[in-house]
Amino acid sequence: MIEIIIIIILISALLTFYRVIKGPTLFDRIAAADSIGIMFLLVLVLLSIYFQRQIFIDVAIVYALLLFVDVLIMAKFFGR
Amino acid sequence: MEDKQGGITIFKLLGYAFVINGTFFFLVTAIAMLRFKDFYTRLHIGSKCLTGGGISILLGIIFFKGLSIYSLKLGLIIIFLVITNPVTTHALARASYYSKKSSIPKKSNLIRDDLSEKKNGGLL
Repeated sequence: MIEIIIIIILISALLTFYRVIKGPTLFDRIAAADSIGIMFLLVLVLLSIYFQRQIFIDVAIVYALLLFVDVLIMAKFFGR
Repeated sequence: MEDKQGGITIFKLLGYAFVINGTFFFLVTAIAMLRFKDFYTRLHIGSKCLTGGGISILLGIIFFKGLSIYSLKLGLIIIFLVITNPVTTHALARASYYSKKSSIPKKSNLIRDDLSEKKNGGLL
């Protein structure tokens, strides 16, 4: 059950990666990369249940915080 | 996610329903990222649908796990996702609007632009 869900989320991340490669503008690529980051965050939470390790949840929290700061700085930097 | 007691309770049923719902939303996000032809519609699907799918999957896992310190951390991720994803989406939309290089394309289906009619540059 959980393997099928992880594989479906990875397939959707692979489909979103097409927009990162072939985006018309720069902000399309940033938005698609943000979407891929949130998908990998959920994959990390699901892997924590699959391997029965609680340390992956802390990694997921720090990953979400870094993703927020990352996209905000990119929007501030490329917006000018 | 594996059941140790063997029986199916109402919480496991709710957990399966929420997790499958969230996975469906993720797949819809991926298809819409390929199909939509405007930047603002892509940003719209990346904001709403992805946040809803993530909250749904995390709520499903909380229904599986029950009340513990594990579920508290998952609830922290839910609150963080709700707060931060609209902030980044708003920052990206504002940066893309005020950027001169990538303004709105000609064959876009955006028919109204309220922000350009305001004086002294809109919401600065």
